[in-house]
Amino acid sequence: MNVAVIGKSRINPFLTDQLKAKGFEAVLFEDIDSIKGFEGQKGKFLIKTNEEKIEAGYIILTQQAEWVSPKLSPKLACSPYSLLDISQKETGDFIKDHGRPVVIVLDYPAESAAVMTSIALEKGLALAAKKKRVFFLARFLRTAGEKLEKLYREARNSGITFIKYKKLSFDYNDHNGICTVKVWDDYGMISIDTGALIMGDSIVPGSKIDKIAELMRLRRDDTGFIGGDNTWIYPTSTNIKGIYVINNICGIPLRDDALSQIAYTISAIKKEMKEPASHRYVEVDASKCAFCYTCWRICPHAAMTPDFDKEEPVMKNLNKACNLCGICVSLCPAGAITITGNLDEKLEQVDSLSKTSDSKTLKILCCEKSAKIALDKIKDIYSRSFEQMDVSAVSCGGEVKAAKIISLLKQYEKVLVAVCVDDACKHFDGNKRAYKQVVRVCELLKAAGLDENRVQYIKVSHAMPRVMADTISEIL
Amino acid sequence: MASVLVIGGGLAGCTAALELAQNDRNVIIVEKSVTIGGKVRSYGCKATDRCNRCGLCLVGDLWDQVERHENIEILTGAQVVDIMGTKGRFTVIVKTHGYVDTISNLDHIVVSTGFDEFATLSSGSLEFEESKYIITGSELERLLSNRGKYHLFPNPPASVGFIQCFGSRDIQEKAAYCSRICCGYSIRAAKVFREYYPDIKITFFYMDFQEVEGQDCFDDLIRDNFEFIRCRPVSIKAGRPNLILYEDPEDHSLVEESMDLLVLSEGIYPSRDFENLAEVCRLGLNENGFLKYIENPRQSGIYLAGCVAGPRRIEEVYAQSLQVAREICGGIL
Repeated sequence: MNVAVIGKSRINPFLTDQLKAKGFEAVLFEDIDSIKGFEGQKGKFLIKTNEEKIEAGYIILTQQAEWVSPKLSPKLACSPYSLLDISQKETGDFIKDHGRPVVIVLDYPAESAAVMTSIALEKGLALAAKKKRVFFLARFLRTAGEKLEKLYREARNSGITFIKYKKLSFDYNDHNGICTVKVWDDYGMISIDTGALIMGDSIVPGSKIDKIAELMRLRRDDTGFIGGDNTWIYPTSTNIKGIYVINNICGIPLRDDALSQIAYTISAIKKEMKEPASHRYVEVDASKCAFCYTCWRICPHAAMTPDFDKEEPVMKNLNKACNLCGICVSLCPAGAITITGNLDEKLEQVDSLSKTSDSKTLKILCCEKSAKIALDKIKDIYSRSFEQMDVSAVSCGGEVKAAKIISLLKQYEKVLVAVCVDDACKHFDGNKRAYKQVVRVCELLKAAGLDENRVQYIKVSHAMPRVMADTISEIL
Repeated sequence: MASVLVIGGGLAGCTAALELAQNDRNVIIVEKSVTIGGKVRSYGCKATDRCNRCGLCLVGDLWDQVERHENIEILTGAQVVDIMGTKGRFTVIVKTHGYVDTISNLDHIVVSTGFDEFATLSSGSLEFEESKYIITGSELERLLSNRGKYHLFPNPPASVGFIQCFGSRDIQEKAAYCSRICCGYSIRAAKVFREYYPDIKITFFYMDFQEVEGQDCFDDLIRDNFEFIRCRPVSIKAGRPNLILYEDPEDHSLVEESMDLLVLSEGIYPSRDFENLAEVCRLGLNENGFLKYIENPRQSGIYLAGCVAGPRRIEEVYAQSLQVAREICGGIL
């Protein structure tokens, strides 16, 4: 089984070794620009370059982020060295020996990424070992990691002077090739003449990560890195099954982190290989599909793909990529998509605690990952309330259609849609889509002169049982 | 078929146990308290208008799944007294409710006994008395786990002070390391306070601030009206309100400020009997009292999972415990 390793990174040799040791064939695509096309799903991805098409069962992205070298303006005669750059070179003679101290600065103009602290400490120690006088200026010392406190103490013992400066006090000028750095800590103004100013870099995704993310339709967080903003895909997964990211956050991995991420990812791949096929699957009715690309756009897992091989082009579901969240079913304008064993069936399952014969006041549609768990926690304490309601779990709030809510309102006085908190949805924006459906129903109710409060919506996590209890009490 | 023994039924132990069980291994969890769940079971959600990524969602209904799984046997009120044998053939002596029991036919052992909270130990450097207006990190979590739709406190405080690094990064207290999790949970908790009570005054007393979310989180927090004072308070007079005495970093004057509620952001401390644990489990100790490997676990058959090996965040424990379980499953995963 091929595993494609994509991107340029210092961990590639180690990763490919580990993959081989675990019985995989590692295929390396170091230059992302060489990848011209991409399609397929877990177990069978197809990666196209100018020369060839390579099949891979799984993909691991290792492309290093870019670092943006520090710049000070106006341009100094002794412009600052980039910390990341310097850390990859031998300490030796890049700093001319003129007797002036080396100044390492972090957190200017903005907070540096935490990883910079360990890099700076190591470099500072290396310089101190060469008998250089080192000043370490930072607003924070980020030592929340194993061995980092020890490293910090070593650095202090080696004679490095640490100064915690106040944010807006950093100032500099240069004069005759000497750079003077000025900062204010809480006790006074400190002025240091240096010939070697090293500053922390900022880390950005960069164009390669941009490119591959777009090509593979990978979801990115606010800062542009792949994955990361959703707990469910921690530590190395992405929104697409079978595609993993290692080491995307920083150009230089904290050694321990990279190793454990690699071990974890390879074991996750093995586990994914073992995953049995689901009994439920998504079907697109070709006679209804309008080929509008809506499902393709909204699928959080990039599991819909156009099928041009049929008589008329139609959308089809990549069943190995599909998470069965039901969002496409809910949002297809032509109603062409169904999941066999879909929401309707689930609605027929009634919570065993409630009595089935009498008509109930309240119907709760709750996400199985959050609200359902919270409800289960309060079942015993609020059993009387539970007698007045029917509960149905859905795999994602996004599965809930306006039409379904309306039909439920014929049987129940009230409907509560209880989904995950923003950014905690396993399918990323399923909870928000549920909200839109609820809003639509409320508008229709209002237009029909009915009480729009008959439909309620709430976002909870599994650890908010009392919020569920309060909400139910309010409704009933 | 041999079973795997999991010592400690907290987040790490249960995550590993469930992963093992789902891969057709038989698991026995030995838990010293009356129920599984450890510390995390009493933790609360820290979402505001959006998830703040505390990692708790990964836990979900873990405890239920573990309790229901047919491959997992749970012994509560039980403690491991000794481990005999070698990988593939361990025999363990367990003490429960006064009896002593022997469990044999174990091929692997996972040590996941977790950590102790610093506040349970006496503090030398910061003077204060116990008070219900001074709460620790774990009491904070219990508060959050009980959060209602509109209220967090029966009587909401107008001002909250967070004392960071309580017990951590303090050589004299012998917890010289950073506990890694306190900046995270206290910031998230503070955001929750703000969400419920927009006018609440929030002050952090800190030395350094670890990266909680992204590169500019500290500056973002300042923009959101969180006050940060870089100093360690000298003393606290418990009461209603509490009085905090500290040196103002700006002008070096001594300031006494009143705060309705104080939160001691305590860190992660090794469990009290770490020496005994290390000896019984054939593991070493690092300089901070956390357990570490002295033999490759693939040879010894004894694995570490979770905070027993050092401060770790929830999602890190989750990933690591899964990984340990998968390694034990060996050829399969």
